[in-house]
Amino acid sequence: MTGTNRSLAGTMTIRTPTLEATLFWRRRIESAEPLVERLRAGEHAAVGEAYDLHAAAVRAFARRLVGDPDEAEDLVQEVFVTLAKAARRFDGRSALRTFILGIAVRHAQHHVRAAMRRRKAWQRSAEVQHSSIAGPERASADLQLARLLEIALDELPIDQRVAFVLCEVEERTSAEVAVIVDAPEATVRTRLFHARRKLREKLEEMGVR
Amino acid sequence: MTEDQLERATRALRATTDAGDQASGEGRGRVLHQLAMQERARARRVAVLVPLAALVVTSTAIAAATGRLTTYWEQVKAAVTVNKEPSELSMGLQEDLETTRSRGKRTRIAQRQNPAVALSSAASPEVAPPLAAAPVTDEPVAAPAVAARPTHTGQRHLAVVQVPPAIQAAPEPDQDDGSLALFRAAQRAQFAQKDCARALSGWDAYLRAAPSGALAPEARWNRTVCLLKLARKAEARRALEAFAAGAEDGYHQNDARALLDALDAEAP
Repeated sequence: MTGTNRSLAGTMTIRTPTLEATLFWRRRIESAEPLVERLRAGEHAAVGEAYDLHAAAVRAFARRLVGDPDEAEDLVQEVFVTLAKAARRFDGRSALRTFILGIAVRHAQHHVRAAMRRRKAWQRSAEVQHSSIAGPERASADLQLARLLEIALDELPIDQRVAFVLCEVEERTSAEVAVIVDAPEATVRTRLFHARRKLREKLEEMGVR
Repeated sequence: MTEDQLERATRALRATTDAGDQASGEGRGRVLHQLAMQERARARRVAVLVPLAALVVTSTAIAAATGRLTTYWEQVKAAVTVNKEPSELSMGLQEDLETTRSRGKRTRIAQRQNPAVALSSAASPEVAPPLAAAPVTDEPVAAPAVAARPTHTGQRHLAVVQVPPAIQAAPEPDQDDGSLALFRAAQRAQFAQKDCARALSGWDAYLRAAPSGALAPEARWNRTVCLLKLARKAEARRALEAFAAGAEDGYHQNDARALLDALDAEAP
């Protein structure tokens, strides 16, 4: 399903999706309507199929929102276990993935708090050096910048955090985010505005210039 | 800080968290396992709760069919209701009830040892003194509304007497104030003041006022007991024969038979 090009050195594998793979996944997503019916009927195999289709997106969102791989994995599991029951109230007005991300948002709060506690403990012990990001290694600097952004995200209220991750990190439209978080679009944009301002301030405090 | 730095940090976060489906297989298995566990737990709950619910429904239906549901319901209500200001009559009945309970046991033992006691015991099943030895002590008997079913044995009678006083003293809905006052006066004369002659005239007055009232069978029985205690045996016998023949739908029928036997045995 995927074409594999090996570099000359043979040490790095670059995976690029082929047309067949793209069509395969498109077909599976388009055939989601009977899947929804099976989910509503409480079929466990349907939950497995929904997992195959949407777990990657949910996991990426969970990692970005929570900032901790273990907590994110717990959140993903919780989301799909909840989906088995929640699918009964899915009215089909949005995409199934949007509905699943909405479940993730509703269940994220205590996972975010747990990850924040863990991060703060780690910060105390590791004493992160904020001023060292201007090093020679660009990749390493980006990685460190990402960690700093995660720490800065901890300062935001959960609503603003969700809005920032969905709009900025995941690059979703504010209309789509409004459906996911079940709030008006204007509210989402307001949350995003405040989130950006606070993050800028926090990153400046950390010495990112 | 420039806007570019925030965007760079955002891009970096996106890039570092992009490889999202590494744990798919393991996670999928865990989700399905958890769902299966939940399903099993739900099935277990159903297996316990459904028979339990069926049992409750069946027993309630049986109780309703046999006419005991009202009695049970009243007992449950009385058990959970705290009656803070019992009426005077209730308190009198409560005292009588306590006396009855303590005496009842002694009476049954005495009956086993001396059959002569049976006469007085049957006249008032919880009372010890024999008829000839002393005036018969009156004891309260449950009102018909509470004692919905006829009492055939001493044990059953005792069970009826043990109904809480708040229920015994409750006024009957179909009794007007005048006849109810007459009933209470006669009851007070017999059970509280132990004046059988006055009680007898009280019962007669009540029965004239409400000959077919809900409390009439009880009044007739108490009147019979008064006649016995006043040693008016011929009248008492006639009244007892009516009870023994089932004139009051079996109410006190066995007690009446026992009293008649005792009267026959006493006769020369």
